[in-house]
Amino acid sequence: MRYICSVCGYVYDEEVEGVPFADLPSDYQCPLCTAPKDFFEAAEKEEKKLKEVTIDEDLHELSNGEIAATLSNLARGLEKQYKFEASKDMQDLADYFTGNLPSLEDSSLEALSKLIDEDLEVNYPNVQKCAQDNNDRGTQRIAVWGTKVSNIIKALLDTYKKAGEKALLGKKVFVCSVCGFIYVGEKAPELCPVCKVPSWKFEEVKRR
Amino acid sequence: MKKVAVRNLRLCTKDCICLYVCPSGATDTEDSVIDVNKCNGCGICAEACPSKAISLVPLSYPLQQAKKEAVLKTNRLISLSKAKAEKMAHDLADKCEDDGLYCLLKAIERSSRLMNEDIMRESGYMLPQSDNAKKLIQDIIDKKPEGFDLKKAQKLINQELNND
Ligand code: SF4
Ligand code: SF4
Repeated sequence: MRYICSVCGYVYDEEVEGVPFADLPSDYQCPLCTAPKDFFEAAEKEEKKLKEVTIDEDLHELSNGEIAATLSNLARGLEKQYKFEASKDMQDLADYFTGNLPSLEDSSLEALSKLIDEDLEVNYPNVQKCAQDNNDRGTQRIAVWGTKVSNIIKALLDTYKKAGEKALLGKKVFVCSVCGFIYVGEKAPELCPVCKVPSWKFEEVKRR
Repeated sequence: MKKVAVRNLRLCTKDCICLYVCPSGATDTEDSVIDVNKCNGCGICAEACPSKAISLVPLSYPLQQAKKEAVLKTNRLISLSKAKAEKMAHDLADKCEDDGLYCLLKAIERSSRLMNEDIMRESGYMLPQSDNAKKLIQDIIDKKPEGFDLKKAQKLINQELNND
């Protein structure tokens, strides 16, 4: 039987490894992306049923947070076109919105985990399905990356909730500047396990 | 389509073969940035560069592929949720006293933004020069939000984002 890491796609093949997956210690981690053991899924599993959502009909106005992300995405676009000054100006506009976000009613690690879970269980599967139905390959790619990255965030939050500060003691935290994958360890991985860019595309999160 | 050469300084090893082959002298500059005003877009430098450090970028970009209404709508599920996650991680990091957790939350804040940028890019905002992008900025200008740099925004629309 084969088990697949839901974050990076690493395959654990029982025949090759000689150890049944179930017999691996509970603190087994994916050798590529460090996702914990319970983030592996059996290769031959049944299709999960899609939890459908109804989308608000009058949802046209973008929220400030969405505008901020849209503008900083445009800033990245300009950077790719080598228009560095325009990119900086666009980023300034984005930062205005980032700095003017309304505060949230309840913020807690629990609430944050809940948002991520909703993305994984409802939002991304619906986006993926809709993109497939409309043959939108770009959105499909983003949904695949987003699902994997959200999975690692879920794993890191779960680990933190269990082990506390110990989980991060003496370790550095890196973010892939292309897809958002988060890596906790001594140095950034050779290749991003999600989007496959080289290690120099990782940013280290600065300590306080 | 008219193009100009640009050099990726990260890849450039300063072997300088591009200096010898460029017919216009555009590659010979004190700051290593190819002079767009001299470059004629012939592409000889890009072919000659051993490090594949030069690419030719177009001066105008093709229209984006129109996105389906249904995709745009469904993508909002993610953009709304990631915007919220980003803000929540930011606020929690601000209040947090543990160094490890602080780093983790900062990483989640950044990561949520990146995932949101990706989804917005696939929601009709791929090209900065697109009508969509310009309309978004114009709409903001029209609302005159307090403290927003209207001049900078107007300059972007008028100068940087025109596509002809
Ligand atoms: S030929 Fe390529 S590597 Fe050499 S100086 Fe020019 S751009 Fe740099
Ligand atoms: S494209 Fe031609 S003119 Fe422009 S920098 Fe390269 S060799 Fe020189």
